[in-house]
Amino acid sequence: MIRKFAAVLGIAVFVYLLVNAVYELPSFGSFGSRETANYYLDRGLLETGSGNLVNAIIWDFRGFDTMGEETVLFSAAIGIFLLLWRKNGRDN
Amino acid sequence: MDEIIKVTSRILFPMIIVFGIYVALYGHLNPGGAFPAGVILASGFAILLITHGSEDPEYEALKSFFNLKSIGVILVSLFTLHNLGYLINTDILKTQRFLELWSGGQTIFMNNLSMLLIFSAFTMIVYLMVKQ
Repeated sequence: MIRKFAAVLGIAVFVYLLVNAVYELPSFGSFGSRETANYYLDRGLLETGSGNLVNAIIWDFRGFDTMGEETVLFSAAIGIFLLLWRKNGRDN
Repeated sequence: MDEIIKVTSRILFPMIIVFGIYVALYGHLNPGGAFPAGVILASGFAILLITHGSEDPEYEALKSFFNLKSIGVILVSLFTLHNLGYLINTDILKTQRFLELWSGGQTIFMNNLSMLLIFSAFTMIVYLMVKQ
């Protein structure tokens, strides 16, 4: 009973946080105002110090996106490494 | 492999390496960045590995350069360091200078780390394929 109550309470808090996060988003379909793009253009150089805005977005504003990309690359490299390693004898 | 191709590849190799390092170091100012820089550097090593293939006696010298166990360790530690780099407080790296080589805060740091990660991953793949 207590576990069920705790689970329901946890879900309620989670849903409350998610709904609050949805209210922070721009209203549905209003991408014409380009709020994010203008923010990147205005504040990119000052906040990241990077003159190349593409670089600023990739490695600072969307750093976690790049981290995921490189995780994919890293797992592919490790997969090839494990497949091909030590096929021809034990050297190397 | 033909001697002409071997000599040409040995002449081209340092130029490709310097160009790759340049692209990585100036990634926060110029077009380019870590992904192209890593691939350029790996292509330099790929040319050497393909031209000095596994039948070549000079391949032994290259082989000692590619100790695969250490490359694997380097790859894993670079990956860890790289992912930690996203979590550390990057205000330490910030300077008040803009549009210079030593500016860019987090971005120049992550650029070069990612370049090393991609370079070692691709070089390792090419090496393993040449070795087969």
